[in-house]
Amino acid sequence: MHTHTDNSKRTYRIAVTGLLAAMGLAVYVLESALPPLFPIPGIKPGLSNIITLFALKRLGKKEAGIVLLIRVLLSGLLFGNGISLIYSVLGGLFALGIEIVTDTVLKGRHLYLTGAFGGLLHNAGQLVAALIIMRTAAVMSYAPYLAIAGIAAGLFTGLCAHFLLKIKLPSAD
Amino acid sequence: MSKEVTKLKSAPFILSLILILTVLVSAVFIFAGNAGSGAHVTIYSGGEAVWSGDLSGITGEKILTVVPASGDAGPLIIEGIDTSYDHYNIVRITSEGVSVTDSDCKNKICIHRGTVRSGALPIACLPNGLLITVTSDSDVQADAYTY
Repeated sequence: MHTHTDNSKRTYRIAVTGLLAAMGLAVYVLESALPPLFPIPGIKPGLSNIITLFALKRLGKKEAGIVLLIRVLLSGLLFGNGISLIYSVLGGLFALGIEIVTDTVLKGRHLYLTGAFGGLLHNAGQLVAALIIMRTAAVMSYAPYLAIAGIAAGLFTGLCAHFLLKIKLPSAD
Repeated sequence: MSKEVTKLKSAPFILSLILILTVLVSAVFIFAGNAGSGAHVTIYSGGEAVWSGDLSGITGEKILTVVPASGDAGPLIIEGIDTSYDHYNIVRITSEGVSVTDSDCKNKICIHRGTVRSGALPIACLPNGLLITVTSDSDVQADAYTY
């Protein structure tokens, strides 16, 4: 039976999910405005992971997936093309997938480790996308650079999310 | 089980170890990869590719005399040094890179270019129509990536 509190909690969750999706999109736009730090495609701070991790810890797996999906679809439709969409989708799914697993294994602690794995798998997903699109194994030469950069960015974003989560949001009631 | 051993077997420790190992292995690949770059050299004479090979496949040094086409004869590639022709470039290829060591041309820009081992700017000797490019050995080279 749906009580009044259930409904307002649900509304709260929907609202925060939407908010985080919008924030994810904003972070993505911000990040794409930054000049590339290294001449290797795919090396970036990965700030969107902060939002993903936040959603995962604050709301849950389902909501994190929705936030990710909305962000990927909207950014792809608004700013990208079919190709960039494949990269985003694979990167995001790989990252969220491993983050869910790692977070469970780590019992919710050490979010920086979860983030690091997320960053690593995000780049792995993009490498897979590159393999599919470019159809040449030559893209694997980027793998070591992407691995290190992914772990570094993931560590950073994981730490950011950790501190962000310490902030108390206003509650539903 | 003692406290130290349980701590070692804990999830964060193992996961951290995985990450550290990944970073180390990647670093090894990066350094090893840059050492023997597998760069692909192509020598063009008058627009026609007359020789190509990989830097990594070269043992010792390879000396080639490239003679541009003249009259009815096409361009020539001669092993070793042969300066009996009017126009020539002596190309030296080692696993370190490719360079032009001698030429009959006036400005010797091709020689001053030095040794090239990566693809940004090729070696050229315009009077002799010589062009030496170094490319990475991927079949497909993307001009740009989008995400």
